[in-house]
This record gives sequence, structure tokens and C-alpha cells, in this order.
Amino acid sequence: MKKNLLAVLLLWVMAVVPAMAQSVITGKVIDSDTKEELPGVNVVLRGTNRATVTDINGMFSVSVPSQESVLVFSFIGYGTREIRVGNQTNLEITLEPSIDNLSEFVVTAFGIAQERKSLGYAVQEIDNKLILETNQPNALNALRGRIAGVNITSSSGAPGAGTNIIIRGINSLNPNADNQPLFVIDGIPISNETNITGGRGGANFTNTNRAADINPDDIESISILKGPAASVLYGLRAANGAVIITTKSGKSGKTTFNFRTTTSIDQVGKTPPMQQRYLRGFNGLYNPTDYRADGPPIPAGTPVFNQWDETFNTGNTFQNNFSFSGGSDKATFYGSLGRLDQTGILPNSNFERTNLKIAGSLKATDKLTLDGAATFINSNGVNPRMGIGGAGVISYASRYAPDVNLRDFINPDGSQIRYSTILDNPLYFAQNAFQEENVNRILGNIGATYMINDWLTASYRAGIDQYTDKRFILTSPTTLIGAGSNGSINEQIIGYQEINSNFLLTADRRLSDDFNMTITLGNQVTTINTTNLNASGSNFVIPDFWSINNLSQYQSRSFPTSRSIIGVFGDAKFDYRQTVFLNITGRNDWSSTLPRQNRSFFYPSVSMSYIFTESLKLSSSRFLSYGKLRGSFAEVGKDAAPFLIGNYYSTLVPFRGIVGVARDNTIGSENLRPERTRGLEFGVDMGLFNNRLRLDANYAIQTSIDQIVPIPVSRATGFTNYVTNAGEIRNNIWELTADIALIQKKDFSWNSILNWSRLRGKVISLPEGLDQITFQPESPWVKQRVQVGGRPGDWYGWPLSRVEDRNSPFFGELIIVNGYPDVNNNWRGVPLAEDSYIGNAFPDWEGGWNNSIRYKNLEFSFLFTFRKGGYVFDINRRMRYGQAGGEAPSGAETELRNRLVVFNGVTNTGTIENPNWVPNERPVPISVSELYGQAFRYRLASEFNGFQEASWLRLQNVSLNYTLPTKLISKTPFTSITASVTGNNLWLTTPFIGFDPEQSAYGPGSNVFGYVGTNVPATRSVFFGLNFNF
Amino acid sequence: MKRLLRKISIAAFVLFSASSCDNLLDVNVDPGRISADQITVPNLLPSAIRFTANVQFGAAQFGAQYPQYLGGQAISQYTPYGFDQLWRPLYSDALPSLQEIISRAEALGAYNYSGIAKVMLAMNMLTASAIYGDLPYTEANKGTAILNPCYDTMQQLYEVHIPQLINSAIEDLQRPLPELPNLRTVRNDYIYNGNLDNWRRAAFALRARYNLQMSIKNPSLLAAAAADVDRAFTGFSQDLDLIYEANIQNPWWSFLGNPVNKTQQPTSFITNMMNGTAQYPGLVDPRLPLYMSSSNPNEFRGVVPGRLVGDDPTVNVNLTATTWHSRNVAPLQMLTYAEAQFIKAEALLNSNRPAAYEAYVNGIRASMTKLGVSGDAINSYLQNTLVSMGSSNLQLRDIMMQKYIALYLQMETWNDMRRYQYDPNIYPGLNKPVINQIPGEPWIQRSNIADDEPGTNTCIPVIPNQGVKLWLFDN
Repeated sequence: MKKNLLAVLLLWVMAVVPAMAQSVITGKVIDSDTKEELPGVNVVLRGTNRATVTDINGMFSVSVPSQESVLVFSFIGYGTREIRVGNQTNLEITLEPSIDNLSEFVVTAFGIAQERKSLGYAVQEIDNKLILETNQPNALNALRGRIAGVNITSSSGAPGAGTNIIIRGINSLNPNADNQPLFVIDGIPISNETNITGGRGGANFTNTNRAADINPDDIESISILKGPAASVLYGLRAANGAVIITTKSGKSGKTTFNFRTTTSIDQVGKTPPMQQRYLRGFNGLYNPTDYRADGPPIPAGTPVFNQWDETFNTGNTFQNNFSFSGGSDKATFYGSLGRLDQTGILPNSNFERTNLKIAGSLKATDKLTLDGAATFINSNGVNPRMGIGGAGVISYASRYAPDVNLRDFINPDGSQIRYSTILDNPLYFAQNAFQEENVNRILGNIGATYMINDWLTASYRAGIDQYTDKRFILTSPTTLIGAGSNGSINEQIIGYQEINSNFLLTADRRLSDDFNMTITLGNQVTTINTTNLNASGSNFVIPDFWSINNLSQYQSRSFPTSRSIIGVFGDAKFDYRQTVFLNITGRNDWSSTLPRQNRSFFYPSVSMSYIFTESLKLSSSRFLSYGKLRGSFAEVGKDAAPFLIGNYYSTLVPFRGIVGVARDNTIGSENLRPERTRGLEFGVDMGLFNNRLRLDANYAIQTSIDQIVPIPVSRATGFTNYVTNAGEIRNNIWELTADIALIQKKDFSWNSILNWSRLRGKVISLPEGLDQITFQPESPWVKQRVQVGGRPGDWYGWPLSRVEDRNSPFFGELIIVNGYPDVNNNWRGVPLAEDSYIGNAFPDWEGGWNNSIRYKNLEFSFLFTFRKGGYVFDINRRMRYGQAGGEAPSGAETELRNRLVVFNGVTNTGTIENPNWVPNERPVPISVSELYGQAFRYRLASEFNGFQEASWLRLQNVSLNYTLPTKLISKTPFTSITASVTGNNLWLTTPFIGFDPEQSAYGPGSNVFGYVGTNVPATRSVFFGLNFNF
Repeated sequence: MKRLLRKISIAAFVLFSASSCDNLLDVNVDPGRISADQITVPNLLPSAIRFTANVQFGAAQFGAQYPQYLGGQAISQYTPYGFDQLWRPLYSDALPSLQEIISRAEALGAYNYSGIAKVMLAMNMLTASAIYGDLPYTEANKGTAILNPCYDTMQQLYEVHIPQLINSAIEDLQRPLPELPNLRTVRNDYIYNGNLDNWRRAAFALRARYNLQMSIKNPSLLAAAAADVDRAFTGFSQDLDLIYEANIQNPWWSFLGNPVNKTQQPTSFITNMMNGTAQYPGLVDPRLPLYMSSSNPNEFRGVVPGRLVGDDPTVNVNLTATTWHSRNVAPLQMLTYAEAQFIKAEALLNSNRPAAYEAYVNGIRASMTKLGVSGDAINSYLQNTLVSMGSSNLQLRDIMMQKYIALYLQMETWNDMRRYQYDPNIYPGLNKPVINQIPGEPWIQRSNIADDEPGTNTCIPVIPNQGVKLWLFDN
């Protein structure tokens, strides 16, 4: 039925539009100073998504519907020109070098290139050069620190690790919600799902966000639509913003080839300091089989190991990409073959990706353009088991005693050398508890554009995104966690199929000399079907045969989903003298996931921009050369996940040959309504000092109401979660960007861009009767709690008790009970159920500072990123500072032991009601069992248990490029050769003790932020690259 | 012509989209899960039985440290504990399944099913109320109708709801079988394979347990308890046990039996009671090597309550994959013939000593026989005068110590201990754990509030700390 719909739409488009004549314009673009031909200049037919690029000789060819058509020529580093075609058929365009990009074009919804100045909302675009400069295999990582208001974090340093992107904060409170933006490639939405093993909240394996499948070399540009006003046309799936990726397409003219190769050396970044003074044992007594380093001091001459150096290797990344492009006036073609091979810093961790892309376009008639693209992707990798529990490579390594040689872990018979019965050797574990993943994916789209007459264009595009993700998860019976079940294997086949059909009808009409109007009507149909077939089992028959056919006990489960969305939308743009721009949109969606009575919903947007320097005749002013005010209001609806309504029953695992049925613990409201996100934003964009300094400031208020949340309910209701509309969050976002051309000489230029953003979320309301929603209550020490008046990401816990009486001379001092610091005001009987606010997981502000310096053929750039505030809970720190429950005193902090100390603080000699504070003078022994092992003395206090501020300043990226002079290679077949050296994450300064705090224990796409320390730590890497054009 | 073509195609598009929209959008029914109208009572029973076992195990998993069967974990230092392992299976799984069986079965006249479900529900509520005190019951499991269920007091539960459930179970199990042929025989019954007579006996054993507990409020119930025992199990083969299998193992096996890393170990209290060094000097209990295994078979040393596993290297006992209770295929004991006999012994101690003594010996013998202790070993143990003191010398403490041993790892023992308020005359050698983190270091009397409740339920009563006695035990 769905396929029929697509076919009918396509037929309709073809049938309705009769053939009509139209003219082809050709021409050449040259530099105004040097008169050299300019290749790669963007040529756009204004008001449409029809565009081409000049070839190596600066030539272009484009068909235009009428003499009224306006062509826009833009190129980075040059001023943009608009030319009305008139009766010319051959144009020579000169572009003036300029660093001012004020009139640049950016890609907006449905691939429509629009002049930046006409936009009433904030859009930021990153081009191919910046993406390749970082050499990141996951293109999203190249955007880090470059876009104000967008938080991009890599979940770990493992090969293929997913990257999390949050635009303007959390919109959905639902711990299972996806706050990731919509990803659109060449006008067609694709999946950026992270199928986290174990579901959202699963923390044991490294998972990839599916946008990482895209070959960075194929990307022409990435445009970030931040607020609802920018993304509203994409409908409900873009309620969190949209990432619009334009890929490379063929360019007419001489066929060109490009080969790019890079190789990198990756090393572990920051690691926690460890103690290297005490042997294995307990209570000061040596015991070689005790996992804890609580023995006597290490005698001189005994070999001592830093277990991080022992655990991590040097990783490598090899990227090779070959592409070609060419074509005639009528047809163009692009092809690329890319290959990535990455070896991680842990044993048994790697990632490989092969991309094959072809794209072509054909001008079938003067009126009809057809194009299509197909990409095949295979990505596969292995990563060992990690996780928030005790059983993970990092968790094991962090507890290894310093006198044990971790690299000596295999007996001659192949069995593991395990020095205690509590810890597996991390290197052995990595080989025997892991996940292997293999994804085959096809992205394809086909489109047609038909110019019905000189002002009316119809276009249709259908696209498919289909992948199969095959996973194999092994827990060998030789590991501690595998011993209980005698080994287990889980094999999963995840299937994803998304079909999109977009139809657009665009009318672009100049109503008078001053007044222009563009109206677009559109229809979008999306169907998404997923399958998840999960077979798991345990109890190996043959101990070392790693196949699911080797098990004695099996369970299989299937989790299919389907979801359909139909959208109809209209978009009207008006401009007056290219000075005032108005844009009004409306969209109605029908979603399958909502109850029938609530499944249709409409939402509007309006945005405006005003170039005040035009009407005030200021554009010739040296000081204020350009100024624009913009404002917008938009609303986007958002549907639910499939199958949330009502209640279901499921079968249990067979037991003694009988299968029981039980009611599921989640119940969904039969009256679920769409969630809504409202955005109001204002901005100003100014060019000062002849546009050498450009300032952009934006303030946005984004409110999400009627959130669809599975609220945790009392288990006494018979359920654990009730899915209903509840709650409201508001995010206030400041985004500032300054772009300065410090030096602007022919041979020497220096450009500096600083961006900064500050986001404040606030919980305005929660469902009636619900005071708070607590996340991760299973980790009792610190928890995240959402409550009215608070912010998403608020941490609660049990801080050290301090004197709170401001009049007391001891105000702020630690309260000492029996010689040790007290926790959570326990001294006056405050129960642990009353947690205190201890911080927020999101930074106070963050930003990036990028510098690009060019001297002749040499280009140098560096990017600093910074963030202030943002508290994280280092799960690993608890592991390495404890003593009980599988924890071990291996952290450097525990070197302070086996002595008497007097804690700096005061004790109470009065009553609870009338305390009398006197300085503490009581010496108490500090030893592992007396301090670090004691919950109430040490482990529970948020100051001790790994809860820390994670501000940082880091050198995110530094890159040096040298292009060989043209003279040198003129005898070779090459048109250009560039050599580059790039460093990523080379330097980091932070008060945080532990691994690099940029991590996520729960993986990308998870809504739980701020838990770190359990995954492969971030790496620092140096890349060497060569780029050949011929 | 062109115009006509255009009109036709527009019309076709509009028509087509209108009719296909609904098809496209009506896809929100999960094909992978079952809807309420597709299931039957026999589908629910096996789940309800397994959930009940989860409740009974969950109560003891960490709770067994309070009656000092096990020790060695932070909870044995009496860190406030909310018995989540009991709360979660009870309210999320067992109670909804059992109540659904009861309502569906009653509607169909299938009182065989409803009676069975009521026995298990009453047993679970009795276990839970004796741990938490007040609990949601009359407002529980009402779904979205009552999102904040208020609590019934322990007194209401003990005086009204629980006896009602037990009596109604006994009534249902005596009613005629249902008309519907496919409901006449109880199917999928892991415990008694549909034998209603055994379920009826279990209901009487449960009522005996209940009456014994309530006898501290009303001593006349002792006679009722003894009378119930006579209508309960006739031997240990009728015990209310769930037997596990190799693939889905006994939870004690998964928790302590199999893991290399033992988080709890048998305490010095139970170990010394059985190894002939404390209450029974020189008398080694033949059940000892079945209860725990020692790295030195000649010496069994348990962990001192309050101490952590690993603190004392001389502790050498553990639950293992071969000790009786923690084998993978071990039965999980919920209500036993041995317990019923000890109930009778205690109930009749002051009224009918010979009968009490007989029940006491029956209890010991049943406990040992069930474990597979040889007849010779049983007889030699029973011939020791420390055990067979004769009916005239039988003391309450003899009954309670033997009941303590027989009910190893079962939470009913904690009720006995709190009925006698940890009296060292009844439990000789019983000492408080060496570390206690409740203010005032009292004996623990109850559960802390379930950790899941604050923040999700606005109708929580004030729950005092774990040192404050429950209504039942506050006399």
C-alpha cells in the first residue's frame, strides 16, 4: 500500500506537468583580481533547490525557466553576486575576494538554498573543508565546538563509538526519549538511531549512532537547523532541530579524481592517578590472592605497574577515499569509494567501514531534471564489554593491584591467570566478553524536478534508508560473569527500513519590482518499520566453541515496530526590496502512534528578518556595514513511540516446560496527545568595520509542553510506568558568535571565530500528583532528579555536613562526628531519604574558538573548546577508592592511609537544637577499612564518591596543511597535492580527577547525562594525510 | 486534453490519499505482544506461582541477615534497607497476576483457580506485612484509577484482609469444580500439579502460621493454630515448594550457590548452633554439611553478624552449588510440614505437652528426612538428650531453636524472633551485629520504606526507622 502511494505520487508528478521549453545559460566565473578561473563556485537558481558548481575551468551550465530568473554565485572567500539572466545565454561573472560571508547561501529545509540574510532564525553551516580537516571518522565529531548552542559529545574513545548531539537542550524529559535532531541527507530523512544494546539505559557495550555510517568525504556541507522555526517544515521528527547534510554530486566539465589518504596514531588521553605504594592484601597483611591493594607497603625493588599503561595500547586509524566527478551539460556523475580501518586502544576493539556511493543527474528535457543517488555502507566492529557494573574492562583494570603484572595473563594451556576470584584480567576479559557488530546499509533516493512554467516548479523525491545490524554478544564461560550461566551468547538482527516520499510545489513570483513572493506546498509521507530478532542462550556445550549453536538453553524474542507519518505543509516567503523578509509556514501531521482521535495536529510558524542597514542607508558606513534583526515564533508537534497506548501481556521464559503469561509493567494513556515544542527567538547579525568583524547574537526560548513521559508510578498501582502527557520544560538559550578577519592580505590571512552559548533549562510543571522523577535510583549515592522549579540534569546526593548557621564563627566548616566527617546532616538525624541538591549535569556555558591562518600555500588552524561547570558522577572513582562490595583501594587518593589524622572541622559539644561548635581535635586512624571502606564515613559523601565539576579547556583540533605550488606539479598529472598533519584532543586542562570527563556511560541517544568513567576513555590522536586531485 | 489529464490525476491523488491514509496510520498495535482478551486463567497461573516464589525468595535474599542465617554484607551492618527485592516482585508481578486470576476465575466460577491464587496472595501479603507493617492493599493494583495508593495499616491487614483471604481460599477450595470442562482440572500448576487437596492443606498450614503470629495479640488463637495444623500437611511431600530446573535455577543458586564471589556467608550463630560448639555442645547436626560447605570439613566457622565477607580469613563456610538449598534444582521452600509441626509444638506447649513434644520431634525428623539425612543419622541425633529431653523437659527455646534450624533461609523465622523480641533465653547465644548504623543501635524491627515509594506515591504514611517495632510485635 505504501509503495503504491509512492508510485501514484510519482506518476502524478510526471503526468501533471507538461513539457515546456526553457533556456540553458552557460558561463565562466573568474577572480576579479587575478582573472583566474574559479572552480567550485556555487551557482544557485534563486528560490529553488536547483544548483550547480563551476568546473575546474570555472565553467558552469544551468537551465533557467525565464529571463526573470536570478542566478546567485557564491564561493567561500569571495563576495556573492546575483545576476538577472535577461536575454543573455553566456555569462562571464567576476567575483571579488572578500572574507565577508554575509550574503552566503545556506541550505535550509528540503534542501532549499536560501540567502542567510533572508532568514528569520539561526542556521549554521559547516563545509566539507572543516569536516575533513579534523579527520574524524564520525563526521559529527568534526562539528564539536564549532556551532553555538549545539552540544556534541563523543560517548567514548572506542572505535566506532557513537556521538551524541543535542541542539538547544533537552526537550523531552522522558528517560527513554530521543532528544537527537532529525538527520536529513539530500532532502531525505535518514536514521541516526543508536540501537543501544540492552535498550536505552544499556551501558555495557559501545554502540554507534547510525549517522556515523556516512563517509565524511562524501559530505559537501552540514547545516544545523537549530530551533523549531528552522526545522518546522520537517515536521514532528525535527522537533529537536535538524542536521541537514548535503552530499557531493557530479560537476559538469572535465572528469576529476580525488584521492585522500590519512593515517593516525591514537593514544589514551587522561587517566586517573593510581596509588603505587601498597601491595595486594587486606588490613595491611599481604595476601597474593586478595584483589584489594590493602596490603603492606610495597618493598623497594618490587616491580610496580601503572595499570593504565598496561591496559591501553596505541590505536590506529587508516582512511582512504577515492572519488571522481564529471559530466556534460546534460548529465553529471559522481562516484566514491571510501574505506576506514580503525584499531582501538584496547585489545579486541576495532571498527571498519566501507562506503560506496554513486550519484547522477540528468537533464531529460529543458524542463525536467532527474537525479538519483545510492550509497552502500558496510560498517563492522568489535568492542569489549564495558559498563557501569563491576564487570567491564575499565572496571576490572581500575581495581588491579599495582604489584600485579596485568600483561601476564595467559597460562601455557591458554587459561586465564586470575590472581583473585573477584577480578578478571582486563586484557583476557576483553577477548572473552565482547560485542561484534556488522551493519549493511543502503541509502538511496531518486528525484525529479519539473519546471511547469517560469514561476512554478514541482519536485518529487523518494528515498529509502534500509539497514540490517547483526550483533553477536559473547560472554565466555571462562569469565567470572559467564561462569554462573556457563557462558552465554546473544545474537541480534536489527532491521530498519524507512521510506520517505516528498512532494513540493514551489511558486516563485516577483509581484512588483520591490516585492517578491515564494510559496511552497508540500506533502511528506514517512513509514518506518523496524524489526529486532533476538536469540540468546547460555550454558555452552563445547567450552570454546563460539556459536549460538553451542548452547543448552535458548530464548528468542522479536520486537517489531511500525510507524507512519503523513504531513502536509505550506510555506510562504515574502520579501520587500531584499530588506524585509517574512516567512509563514503551517504543517499538519497525522501520526500512527497516537490515538485515532488525537492523531491529527497542526502547527504554525512565522519568522521575519529586517536588514536595517539597507533602509537606513548605512551600508556604505565603515563602522556598521551590515545589520539585520530577526525574530521568529514556531511550534512543532511531536508524536509518541509506537505501541505505547494501553497495556499488553507478554510471555515469560519457559520454565519446566510451561510458558506463563504476565501483564507488562507499563500502561499508556488512551488519550495521549502530541507533545508540543514552542520556540521564540530573536537575533541580531551585524557586520562592523567593513564587515571585518561580524557579530551574531541570538536568544531563544524553547518550551516543550504536554510531554509524553512514562512517569514512574508507585508499584502498588500494579504498574511501574504510566505513559501520559505531563510536564513542561523551558530552555532559554543565548548564542553568540564573533567572526573576525584579523589579517586580510593576499598571501596572508587570519580568521578567528569565537562562539559561546549558555543554556538554562527549567522544569515548569510535572504531572499532577508527581513531585519528582528520579533517574538511576539504583545508584544510591547520587541520583538525577527532575522536579518543578529545578533543571533537567539536577543532581541530588548526600554532601558532607557543614555548619549552616551564618552567625557562627565556624560557618561552612566540616562537621566531625567521632573524628570523621559527617554526611547529609546525619548528625542531627536527617534521614538519607532527604537528599540535597549538589549540582547540575549540564554546563553553565560552553563554546569554541577557532583560528584559521593562511600563508601562501600553508594553512594552519586550531580550535579550542571550553566548557564551564557541569557536574558529572565518575562511576569508576567509586570502584577505585572503596573497599567493600567489590571495590578496591587502587586510586591515588587512598595513598593517604595507615596514619592518624585530625580532620579539619568542628564537633558539637552541645545539643542538636543548640549546637556548640568546637574545633575538632580528635585524631582518628585513616586506613582502608576505617575510612575508605566505610559507607558513612567516605563512600556516601558526594565530595568523595566521584561527583565532580567537569569544566574544561581543550585543544580540540589543530591542523596544518601544505599545498604544493602549482609550478612544482605542473609536469605531473596532478592538479593539486596537499599534505596535512592534524592533531585531535591533544591538550586538556580540567579540575576533574579521572578519565577525560567527556563521556557517556549510557551511550548516545540516552537521556541520562553526566555519568562517566565506565567506557573507553577519550583518545588523543595525530593524523597524517595526503590529498591528490587529478 | 492536458487539462483533463491534470484534473484526473489530481482527483486520483486526492481519492487515493484519503483512502490509504487510514491504512497507513492504523498500525499501532504491537504484533509482538498479547492483548488482554487473548489470555486465559491457565496462562496466568504459572507466572503467578513463579512470581510468588520470587516474593518469598526476595524477602529472604538480604532479609535472611536479620534472623542471622547469613551475614557478611553491608546490609548486615544494618544500613537502612527497604526490601526492594520483596517490594518489586510483590507489587509489580505477584499481586497483579494473583488478583487477575482471582477476578477472572471468580467470574467464570473457576473457584479451584481462585482458591489457589488466594492461598498464594494471602501468603505473600502475610510475609510482606510482617516486614513492612502498613502496606497498600485495598487501593493497590488499581492501575491508573488510583495512581497514589494509600496504605492499609498492619492492624487492618492482619485483622481483616489477610484472614478474609485465607478463609475465602479455604472456602473456594471446598467448592464444586467449575462447569467449563477446560477449567475443571487446574493446569500449569508447578507446585501440586492441580491437586486441590494439597492446596487446601497448604491453606490450613498458612492459617496456622497466621494464627500463631496473631496469638501474641490473642492467646486463644494458639488452639486454633494447633487445630489448623491437624488439617494441614501430613508429610513433607506436601510442602509448598517450587522446584527449579537446570535451565532456570533456584535463585539461591544464582545468588550465592554458584557465584565465585560470595557476598554473604552463613553466620557464626547458625554455624555454631549446628557444629556442636554452642547451644548443642558436642552434638554435630547431620544437616550441617548440607546447609553449608566448609573449606575444612572438620571445622565450620561462620561469619560474625556485622562483619563483612573477607574481614576474617578464618571464616570458611559458604553456600555452594552443592549445598542443599542452593543447588540449581533445589526447591524453594515457602511453607513446610516441618514448620507446621513446630507451630503445633509451640501452640500446645502449655496446654498439651505430649502432643507438643510429638510435633517437635516430627518437625526435626521431617526436616532431616526431606534433606536426605540417613535414618541412622537422624536417630542418633534424636537420641541425644540435648534434643530428646522428653515432653516434660521440653522448653520453648528447644522448639524455637529446632524451628530456627529447620526453617533455614526462610523469613518466617524473623517473625518468631521478633515475637520473642530476640530474647536470648529463647535464642541462646544471640547477639546484636557488631556494627549497626541505625541510631541507638537497636535490634532491627522492620523494613525501611521501600526505596521506590518516595517520589512516586504521594500517599505514604510516616514510616519510622528500622528500630521501631511493628504493630504486631509491639505489645
